[in-house]
Amino acid sequence: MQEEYVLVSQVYAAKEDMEAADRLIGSYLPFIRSETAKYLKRQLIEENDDELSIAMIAFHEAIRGYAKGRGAFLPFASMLIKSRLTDHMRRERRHRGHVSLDTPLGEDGDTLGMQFPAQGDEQEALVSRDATRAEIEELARQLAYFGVSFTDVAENCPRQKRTLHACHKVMEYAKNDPELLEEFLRTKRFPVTRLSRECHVEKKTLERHRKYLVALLLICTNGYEIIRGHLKHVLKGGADR
Amino acid sequence: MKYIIMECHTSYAVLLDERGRFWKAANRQYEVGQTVENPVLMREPGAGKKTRIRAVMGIAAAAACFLLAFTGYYRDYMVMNTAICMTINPSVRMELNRKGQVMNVAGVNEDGRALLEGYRPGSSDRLAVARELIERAVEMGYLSAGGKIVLDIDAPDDAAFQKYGVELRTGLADYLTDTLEVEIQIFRHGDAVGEAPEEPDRETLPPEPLEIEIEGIKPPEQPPEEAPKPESPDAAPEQPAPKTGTEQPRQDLVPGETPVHTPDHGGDSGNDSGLHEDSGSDYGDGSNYSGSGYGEGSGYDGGSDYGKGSNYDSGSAYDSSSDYE
Repeated sequence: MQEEYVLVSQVYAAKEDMEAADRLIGSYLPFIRSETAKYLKRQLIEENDDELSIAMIAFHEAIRGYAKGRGAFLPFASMLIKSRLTDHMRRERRHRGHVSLDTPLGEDGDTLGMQFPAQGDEQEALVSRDATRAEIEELARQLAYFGVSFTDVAENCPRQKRTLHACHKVMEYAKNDPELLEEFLRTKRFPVTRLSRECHVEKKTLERHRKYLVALLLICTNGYEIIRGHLKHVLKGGADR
Repeated sequence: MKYIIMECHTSYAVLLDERGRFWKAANRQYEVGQTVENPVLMREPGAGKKTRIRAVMGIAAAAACFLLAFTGYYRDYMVMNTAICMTINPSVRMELNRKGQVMNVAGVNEDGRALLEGYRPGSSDRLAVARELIERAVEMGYLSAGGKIVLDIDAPDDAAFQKYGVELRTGLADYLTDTLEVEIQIFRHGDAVGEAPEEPDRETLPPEPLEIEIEGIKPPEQPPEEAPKPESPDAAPEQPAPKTGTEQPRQDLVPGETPVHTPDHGGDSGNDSGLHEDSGSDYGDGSNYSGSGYGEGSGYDGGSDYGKGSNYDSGSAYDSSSDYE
């Protein structure tokens, strides 16, 4: 009883704090593995099982979706894990007969993909990935000045099409106004009033999605060409159509 | 859709899609900066519930609209609103919906059922059905010249009664003028047939004045408005129509039976004294003729007095003073 109470309080703490959620998942990893293995009716291949990562995200969803009124947490998490794994299996059934390049060949850790001759652009891809990572790390640093992490941005990202469109309008306006971006970087203050006035977007919307807009405005500043290239549809104004 | 891995944690990764949306997804051994195509995105708690609630609300709204529409349709077209009982003497009952369309026709008595045997209404128009039934009654020998058609209208309100009554009277009179001389009487259901009417227009619709041919007797050229009150002048205009007078037509309507003459022209039992005093001069006098029957508005009397001459033809009944009592 006491254990259940502690767990519930941990779950409620993890709802607000993603790091706490990550820690809780780490401590309940054996439970998640056990549930996954029970579902798959086989032992998990460590660090290589898609199913385990899906079970973990399901546990994460369980943390976010849990309410005391729904009974004990662990049965709820178990149910969610099973349903997400079922969904995954159904999705994967479409690719039945296909063999993954990541399929391990032996105990030495070699995979099927390693047996094929290396592609010419692999090196290029690695370089590109490193460059992208460098940009992302720089962006993360910049965001940290504003007290924002990528997890916060993901939490704060609008899902409704109309709101997303409004945020993209702001981004487009900021991209064409270097002075505004410069001031934004210098003062570390998000110009809500000005953007609301110039972009005809309600202040309430901007306030509600401030963290997301901070990330977008930072991406519009110099130094994030790869990320901007990834968002070329948005910057052209075609993403919302 | 391509996603860039922005951040990796033990249980999840943060991804940025090409539309500028940040997502949390299952971390399938991703690395920051990697581009992936089919991530397992984390579901937002309550997202499915909202969709479900919206779906349920949509279905509920559609059901409500359907119910409203259906209720209106049902009330207008499928619920009986008015019943018209047509007695020739085969007695048939027409059930009308709120729109005045004939929903059902049923025989009330044996002859009515015989009349309707094998009959299918050509349309839902009440007048057309009434005409068809009359035509049928004529063909089957139930109705002939000098007969009567009594329409008993069970309407929910005065307006409906007036509407159907006037329409049927006009329509049937037009239809029968050239073919058959019959008497049409219209009553409102619930008002006792023989009772004295408080309001003439409510009790019965005055029949169309038709030509009355009576041998040896000339009808008054202009029926005087006021009936003479030979003995009790105060009581005469307010005298209720006699029950015998109004009930008579229904008894008379049995086919094969000789019509019994009623003291229509003399009018009423209230004017008996007048009639007895000078039964032969009633027509000449004209006062009883107009005052008691038509003016008073009693259903049967009104119809018979003005409507047809058949009753007057049978002079024997008329002459015998016992009939009036």
